[in-house]
Amino acid sequence: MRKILIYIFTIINIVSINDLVYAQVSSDAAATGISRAFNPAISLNSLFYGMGSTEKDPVFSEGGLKQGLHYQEISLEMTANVDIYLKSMIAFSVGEGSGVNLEEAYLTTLRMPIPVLLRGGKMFNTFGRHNLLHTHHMAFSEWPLIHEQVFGPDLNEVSIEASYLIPVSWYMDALAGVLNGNNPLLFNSSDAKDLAYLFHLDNLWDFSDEITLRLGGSYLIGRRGKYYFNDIFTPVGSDTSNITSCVWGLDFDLRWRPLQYGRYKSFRIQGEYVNTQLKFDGSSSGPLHGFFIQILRQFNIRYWIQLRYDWFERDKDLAKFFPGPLTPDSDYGEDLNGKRLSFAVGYVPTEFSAYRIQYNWIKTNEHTEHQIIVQVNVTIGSHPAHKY
Amino acid sequence: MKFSHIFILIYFVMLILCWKDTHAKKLNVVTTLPSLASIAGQIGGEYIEVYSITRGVQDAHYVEAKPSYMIKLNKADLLIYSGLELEIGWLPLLIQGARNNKVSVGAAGSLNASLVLPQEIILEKPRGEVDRTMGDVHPLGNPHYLLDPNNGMLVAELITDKLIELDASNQDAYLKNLDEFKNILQEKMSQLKINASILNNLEVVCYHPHWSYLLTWLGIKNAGYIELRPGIPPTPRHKRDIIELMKRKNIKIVVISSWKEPTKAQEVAEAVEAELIVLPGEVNALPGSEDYISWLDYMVTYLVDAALRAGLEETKHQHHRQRKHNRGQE
Repeated sequence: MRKILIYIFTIINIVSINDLVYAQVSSDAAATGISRAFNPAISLNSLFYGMGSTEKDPVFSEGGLKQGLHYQEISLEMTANVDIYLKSMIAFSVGEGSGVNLEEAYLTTLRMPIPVLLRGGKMFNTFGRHNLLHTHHMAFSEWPLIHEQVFGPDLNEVSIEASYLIPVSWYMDALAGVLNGNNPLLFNSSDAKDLAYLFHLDNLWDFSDEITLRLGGSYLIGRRGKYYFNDIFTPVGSDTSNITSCVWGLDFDLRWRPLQYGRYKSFRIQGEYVNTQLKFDGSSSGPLHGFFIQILRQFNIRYWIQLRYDWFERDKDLAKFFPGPLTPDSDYGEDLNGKRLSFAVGYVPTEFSAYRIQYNWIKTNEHTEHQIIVQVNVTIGSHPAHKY
Repeated sequence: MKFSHIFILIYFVMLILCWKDTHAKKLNVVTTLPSLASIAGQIGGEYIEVYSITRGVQDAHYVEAKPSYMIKLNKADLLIYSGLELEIGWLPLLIQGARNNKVSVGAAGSLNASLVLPQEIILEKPRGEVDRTMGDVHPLGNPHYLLDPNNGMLVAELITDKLIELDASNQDAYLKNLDEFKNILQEKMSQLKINASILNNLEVVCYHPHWSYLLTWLGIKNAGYIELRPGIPPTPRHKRDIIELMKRKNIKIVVISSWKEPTKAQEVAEAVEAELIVLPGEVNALPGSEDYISWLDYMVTYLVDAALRAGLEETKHQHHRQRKHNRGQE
């Protein structure tokens, strides 16, 4: 199956590129030489934070924020058009203690014989809207709880996505994707043939020039390998190779920004619901599901106030597949609940620097915690515009 | 049937049902600015449909790349944009999302209007090093060149050439419309120049370096900016400095764009009892500026009236002298 996909992608590129490729590779001459005019747009983003908590080990500290002063992420991003047909984006990030990580490296088509947009490479996949964000673009310092639990914390795979703009009176974008299927929580199949499949439908309506509503739905399915199999499913069969992860989600985003003083005021309410189940021979596990909803209010050119509520619930059947927060009172034998209320004030002097102070109230089963986070977000260089 | 199968089935049925060919009879033109839409509309007349992505009241530097704009570009035969990186923060996303080869960068249906300008016309191209301490500078120069009607004339000719290239069957109509547009604009320019002659060498303070082309055309001098740097609000100290400057030079006019929040400019104007003039930053930003020519008319007329209201004795004398001179000519 993977070979077929590679063939399809290659054929599409050959159809688009025609003879130019052959002209280029058949000659040692370079039309552009070492001209610096063709250098990619390069930006470097730095995220620093300080955190205090009522607990010695914060509840979601595994892979997340820790007490004290730290750098959260230093991210190097490069973007350029490869040629008339392709645009390339590469992002490396360095987290504290995590080494250099290839965050994204993908190509996007600029011209196609058919009105389809192709994106291929290693990238944040189009499941909902939040998963597409880089860390420095998130409204709060951490990922939503449900994303941390299901994707751990993001769905970022070597994949190909194709999207088509459906010709209706509003914006409707239909997307289908094939993923390598190596997310450690959802798939992590030891069988290289096991791919995952993603579908996303995105809709946006303009209620006026100032107000838009976006509604989307996502569906992700892929085989989970034997690696994570345990005795939870023994009552329903003995074949250990046929567990499938099914994830579906809904997202909404209501925005207001005035036309005249759009740089000074805005309001946004956004949320996502994600539901995960494991399937085995027609039987399903209990769900791991949850949502987040956040309100962002800009009340002058430099100040924002933000509120977010997170909630998730994990069936005890899934405890060993999705370990959840590591707390002293974690009990794999029980259902797990987690919720978090966050409030933040943002000070944004320019497009290139931002300061945020955030308070978190967190509760998981019997565990309650309070956190204060101060975050500094700085960008230098030429950073591409963010998507709407 | 499993839920997943139903989902996939609905997905593909929807794709098939919605697949249709959409060919508009008229040339479908999308512009980034209302001023470009106005000029294109004058030239294209009944043979084109024009849509401007931004509205007149909007600051075109800070437009969000709404997917609904991709729909407009998806159906466009021609995209006309200002260039000089005015739309750099949002237009590339829209072009990519539009999935329309006709308007991709470098295609026949993509027109960067700034390319018609000779380099020496472009104002405020930074000299030497450029970095973010200079605020929101445009490395390629000030992109608000349509505030000078001479540039509007050049852009109209460029648009005409492009419309003829894409739709040669209506060449005669486009050329006729261009002649009409140029005649009307030339006449208006002459009239405005005469009316605005009293503004020659007048000193004003602007909130933001938006008006350079208009001020240069009218011979008005800009003594300073209220913003600390382009896009950076003033500090209290900078405000005090500007107030001192205005007092020292007896400057009585402060100019601000309609999309800028006026509080800081108002404070400065009040401190020196100056006139705060809110000018339409683009076509149709304020009532009375509905098309390119009425926009120019509005701005010049308002500047002249404001100069008189500001109680500039010398301006009044000049104005009376000019009126007498005009009557003499008539």
